[in-house]
Amino acid sequence: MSLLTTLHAARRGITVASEGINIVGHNTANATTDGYSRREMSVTTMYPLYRNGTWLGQGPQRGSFTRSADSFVDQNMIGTAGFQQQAKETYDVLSLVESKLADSTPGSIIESYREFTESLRGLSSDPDDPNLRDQVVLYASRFTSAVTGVAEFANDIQQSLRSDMETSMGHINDKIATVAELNRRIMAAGGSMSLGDLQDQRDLVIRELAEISGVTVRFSPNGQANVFMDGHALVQNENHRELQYYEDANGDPQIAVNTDAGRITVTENLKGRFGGRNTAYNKIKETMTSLNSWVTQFVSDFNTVHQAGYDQGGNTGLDFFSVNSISPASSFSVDAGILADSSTIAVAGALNAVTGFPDAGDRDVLDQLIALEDSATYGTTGVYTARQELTNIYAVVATEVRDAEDNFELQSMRMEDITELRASISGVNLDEEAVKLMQYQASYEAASRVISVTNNLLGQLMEIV
Amino acid sequence: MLIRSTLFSRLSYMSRENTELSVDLADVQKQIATGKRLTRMSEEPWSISQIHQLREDNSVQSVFKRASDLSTTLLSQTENALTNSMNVVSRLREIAVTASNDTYSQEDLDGMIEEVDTLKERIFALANSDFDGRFLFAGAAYDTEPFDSTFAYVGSTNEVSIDVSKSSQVEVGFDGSDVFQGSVDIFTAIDNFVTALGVDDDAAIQTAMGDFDDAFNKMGDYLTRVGGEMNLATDMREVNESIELGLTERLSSIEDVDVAEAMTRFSMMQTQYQINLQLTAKTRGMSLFERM
Repeated sequence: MSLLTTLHAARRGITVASEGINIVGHNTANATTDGYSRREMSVTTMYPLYRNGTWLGQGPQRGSFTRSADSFVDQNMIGTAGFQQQAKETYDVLSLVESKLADSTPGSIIESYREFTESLRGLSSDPDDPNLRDQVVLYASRFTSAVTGVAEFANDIQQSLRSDMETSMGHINDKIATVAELNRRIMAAGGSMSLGDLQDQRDLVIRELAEISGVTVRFSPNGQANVFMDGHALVQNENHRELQYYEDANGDPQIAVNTDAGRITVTENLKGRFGGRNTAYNKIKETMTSLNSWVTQFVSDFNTVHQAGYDQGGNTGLDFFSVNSISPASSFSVDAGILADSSTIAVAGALNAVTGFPDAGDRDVLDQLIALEDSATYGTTGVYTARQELTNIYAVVATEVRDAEDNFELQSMRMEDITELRASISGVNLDEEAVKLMQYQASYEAASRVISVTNNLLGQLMEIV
Repeated sequence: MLIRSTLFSRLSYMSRENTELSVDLADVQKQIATGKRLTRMSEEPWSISQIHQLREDNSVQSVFKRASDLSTTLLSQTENALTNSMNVVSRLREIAVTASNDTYSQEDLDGMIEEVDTLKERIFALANSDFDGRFLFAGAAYDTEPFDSTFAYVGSTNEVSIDVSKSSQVEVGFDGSDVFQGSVDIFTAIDNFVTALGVDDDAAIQTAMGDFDDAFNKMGDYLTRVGGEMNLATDMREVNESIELGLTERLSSIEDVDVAEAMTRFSMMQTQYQINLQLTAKTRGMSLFERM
C-alpha cells in the first residue's frame, strides 16, 4: 500500500466531484433555457496499479459527457412546430379578413347590401319622393364603399404578405447557413463538454426555421442534423442550399429551393409561418375571386334592368353601378350622374304619352330591381340569390378561420404533449440536481478528508525519518 | 404518463392553462358585455346564412310595416274625401228634388244655382284633394292635380298600389276619371243641372237627379273598395308585426346570449382561474433547493 497512491486517488476523487458540481451548476443555471438538454457525466474507476504483487486502486475518473436527448422526440417537436405556426399564422391573417368583413357591423358588405335593398323597397311606396330617392343613392354609395373597402384591405394584406415573405428570405438563408456551420463545429468538437451546447444551439435554430418555413429534420448517428424542405435537402452535414422568393406570372408569391439543377418550387407544401401566410394568401385570393364574380353579376343584372327604366326627367336609365372588369370589387361604384342627382334613378316602366314624363307612381322597373333580390342565379350552380351568395362568401371565410383555429388548438395540444415529453427526457429536474449536488459535495468532502489524513500519516512518517 | 417531470415543465403547464382560461374568460366577458352569444362569425360559420336570412326578412317586414302605415293613412284620407264628395252629391240631389217641385219661383231657383255652383267648387276641391303633396285621385300620376281648371282629367288611369307583403298589395291611388267621371261626369251633370235650373227645365232636372244617383253610387262603390283596402292594410300591419316579432325572437335565440347562463359560466371560470393562480404560486416553492 502506498500513501502516495492514496493521495493520487483522493485527488482524482476531488477532481471528479468538482467536475460533477460544475455539471450540476450548468444544468441548474440552464434549467429554464429554451432548447437546453440536460447534461450527465459518467464516472468510472481507473484501472488499478499492480505493484509489489498487489493491485492498488487509483480512484475515479470522468467518463463521457452525455446530452440527454431523444432524436425521435426532437424531430417530432420540430415538425409539430411547423404545423402549429402554420395554423396560427393562417388564423391570425384570416381573422383580420373576418374582422374586416364583420358581418354584423353596420357598414359591412352584407349589412350595407341589406340597407340598400331595404331602401329600394322603401322607394316602392312612393317612387316620386326625392327623400326616398336620396336614401337609395346614399345606401348604394355606402354599399359600394363597403365592397371597395374590403377589396382594398384584401389587396393590402396580400401585398404585405408578399413583401414580408420576400424580405424574410435573407434572414432564413442566414439561419440555414448557421445550421450548416454548427454541424461543422459539432464534428470538430469531438467529445468535449461544448458538443452538447452546440447541438442545443443548432436544434434551436432548426426549430426557428421550422416555425418560419416548416422544415423537417433527420438526425444522423454521428450527431449531424440534415434539414429538408418538402423532401429537398437544405442542409446536408456542412453543406447547404438557399431558399429563393419569386413571383409567378400571376404575381403570386412562390418559394423555391435553389439547386444546381435550377430552382424547385416548394410553395404548396410550405409549413410554418410561411405556409400559414401562403394558405391565407390563397384563401384571400379565392374570397376576392368570389367577391369579384358576385360584383360582376350583380352590376350586370342591376344595370340591365335599370337601363330599361325611365328616370324622372323621362330619360332612359343610366348604368346604376360602374365597375372595371379587371378588378370589379375594387372599382365598384355608383354612377357619378346618379350620385349627383337622385332623379336619374330610373324606376318607371313607361312614359306618360301626354306629359312625356313617367307617372309619379310608375314603379314597374323598381319592382323588377327589387325582384332581382330573390332571383336565384348566383354561384357556380346558379341556385343562390345575391344575398345567399354573399353569405356563402362570408361562410367560407368564417369556416377557414374556424378550421385554422381548431387546427391551431390541435397542434398546440400536440406541441404541449411533445414539449412535456421532451422536458421529461431532456429537462432539468431541480430535485435530482440538488441530490447530485449533495452527493458530489459529500464525495468532495470525503476525498479532502482522505487527503488530510494521508498527509498527517506522511508527516508522522517524515518525523520518524 | 411521464416518467420524469420537472418544476419548469409544471410551471409552463400552469402558465399555458392560465392563458387558455383567461382567453375563455375574456370571451365570456365579451358575450355578457355585448349580450351576443356570437361575437365573431367564425364561432358558428353554419349559422351565418340563417342569421342573415332572418335579418333580411326582418328588414323586409319593417319596410312592409311602414308601407302598411302609409297605406292606412292614404286610404283614410281617401275615405274622408269620398264621404265628403258623397255628402255633396247627396245635397245636390236634395236640391234637385226640391227644384222639381213646381211651387218654386225662378228667383228661388237662381238662389239654388248659387249653392250648386259652390257645391261644384267643393267637389272639384275634393277630387283634387291630396295628402302631403300626393293627390289621392290622380292614379299613378299623383304628383300633379288630377283635374284642371276646365274639369278635364289629367291624371293617370293606372291605379297605384303599395306592397304590404311579398304577395299583397293595397290600392292607394285611384283613377279620378272613373271615380268622378265614370258612370256619369259629375261636373258635366252639375253644369247641366245649373242650366236646367236657369230655365226651370223639369225634365232636365229629373235627368240631373238620375245622374246624381249614379254618381253617388259610383262613389259608394269606391268607398266600399277603400274600406276593403283599409282592412287589408290594417290586417297586414298586424300580420307583419307578428312576423317581425317572431323573426326577432328567432334571431335572438341564435345570436343572443343567455345572460344568466353566461354569468354562471363566468363565475365557474373565475373560480378555476383563482385556483390555478394559487396552484402556480405554490408550485414555485416545491424544490429541494428550498430546503438546502
